[in-house]
Amino acid sequence: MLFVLVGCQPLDQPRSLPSLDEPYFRCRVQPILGRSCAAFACHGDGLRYFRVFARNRLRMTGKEGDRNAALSDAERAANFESALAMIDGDFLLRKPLASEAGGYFHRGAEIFGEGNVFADTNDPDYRTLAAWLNGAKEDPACIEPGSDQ
Amino acid sequence: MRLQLIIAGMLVPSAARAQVASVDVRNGLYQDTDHTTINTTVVAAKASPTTDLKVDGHYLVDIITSASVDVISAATTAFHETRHEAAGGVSWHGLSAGYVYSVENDWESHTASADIQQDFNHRFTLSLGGRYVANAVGRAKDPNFHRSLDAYGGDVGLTFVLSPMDLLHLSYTAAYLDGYQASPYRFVTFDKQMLGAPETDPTTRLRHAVTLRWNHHGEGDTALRSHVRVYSDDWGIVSATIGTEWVIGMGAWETGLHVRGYAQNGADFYQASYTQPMRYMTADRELSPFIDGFAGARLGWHHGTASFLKEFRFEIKVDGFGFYFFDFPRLRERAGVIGELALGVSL
Repeated sequence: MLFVLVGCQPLDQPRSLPSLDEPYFRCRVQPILGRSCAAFACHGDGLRYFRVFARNRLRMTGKEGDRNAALSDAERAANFESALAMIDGDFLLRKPLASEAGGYFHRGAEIFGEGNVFADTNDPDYRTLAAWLNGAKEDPACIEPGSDQ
Repeated sequence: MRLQLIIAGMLVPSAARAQVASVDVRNGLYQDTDHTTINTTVVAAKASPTTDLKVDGHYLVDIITSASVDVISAATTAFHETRHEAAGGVSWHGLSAGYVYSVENDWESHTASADIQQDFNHRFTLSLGGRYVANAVGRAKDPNFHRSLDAYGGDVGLTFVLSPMDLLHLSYTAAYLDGYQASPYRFVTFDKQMLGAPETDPTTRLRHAVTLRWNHHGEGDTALRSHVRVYSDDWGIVSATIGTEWVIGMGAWETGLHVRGYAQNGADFYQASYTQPMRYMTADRELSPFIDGFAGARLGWHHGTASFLKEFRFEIKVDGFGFYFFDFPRLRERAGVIGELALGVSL
């Protein structure tokens, strides 16, 4: 009887991540995350679910000599996948947005008392993030800021 | 609940059965090894304005302090919150209806229920019930996070008087949940280095449970209350619960020893750590395979009087429990104690 009662809807199916543009992320979004999110007390902490690798911040090798090196391919890929994973629930766009402008609670804004990352949706960096999530594309040959290119 | 009242009726003096109103206060303290403390206080009242009409209500407050592994992250250390619950019900002959309102900082719910039961020759009782729960799910300190969860449930029960000493109750319960069933505080992890993601539970869930209860009035003033429950849902969880309580009446005193065990498998989409993004992902340990066990004792006392206060009573209860999670590396075991003290009067 239990077998009959248990549904047969498959729940353990893989999901493909959104096909958002990697060059746009690498050259436009990642610099914003490195500048606004990657402080050691914030998402530059290796214990956080959403982690951002950035120069002079969190590094994948953990070696002090690599601290100021350009991001490795593995770090770029990790940043890209971390950002994609936070699209669920609109976290990537609404967590750093002030609640008065429709954003979610962000403890970083509370801890440091300096407001959220984006005061409103007119912030140029917010609009860049939103554009990426809406499918904006960049030339694959774009130069990544801080990449030693 | 009804069976508990029936057995209780076997053990209390006739003066208590004639009561027209009662007030009870109960305080409970829960402490576990996962750094969670819950203090619960309930004030409940019942009245019977007429022989067939009964009304009841309660107010409950939970004060919760937790630094559980579910909430700890680099950004969160612990939380403190208070849940308030108010409920009222009315029953007349075999019809009853109830309403419960519950609110805390990130959750608000309304529950409406209705039940009907019919007795056949004092040997057989059929009961039917239905309930609807509307939940508004929020996130602490977040005015812009709003989700909803509706639950629809129904049950059918059959109670048999097998002998003057035995009652058997068989019930089937079904519930359908529709809405947000993840937690906005939990994140799943991946095998790959450095990646986490919010939970994504299915938005619907169909749950079934079959429960068998047997209450046996033994030699002297004793009773044995036993139950078995089997549960399954369309998330792939199958579970079994078995428990029993031995109740001994000794004049004005009553004592009970009880034990309960539970085992379940994990939900189809549960993984301790995911190898790739999945359509549904959860970090809820209650959706992982685990077993638990509870054991405890209680001691009650009641004293009837000839004054307008027909009865005084108190009860003290202590439970110990343990959980073992087979596939939840962040917390393999959890143990704890629950203590309760209750005082009541009947008018």
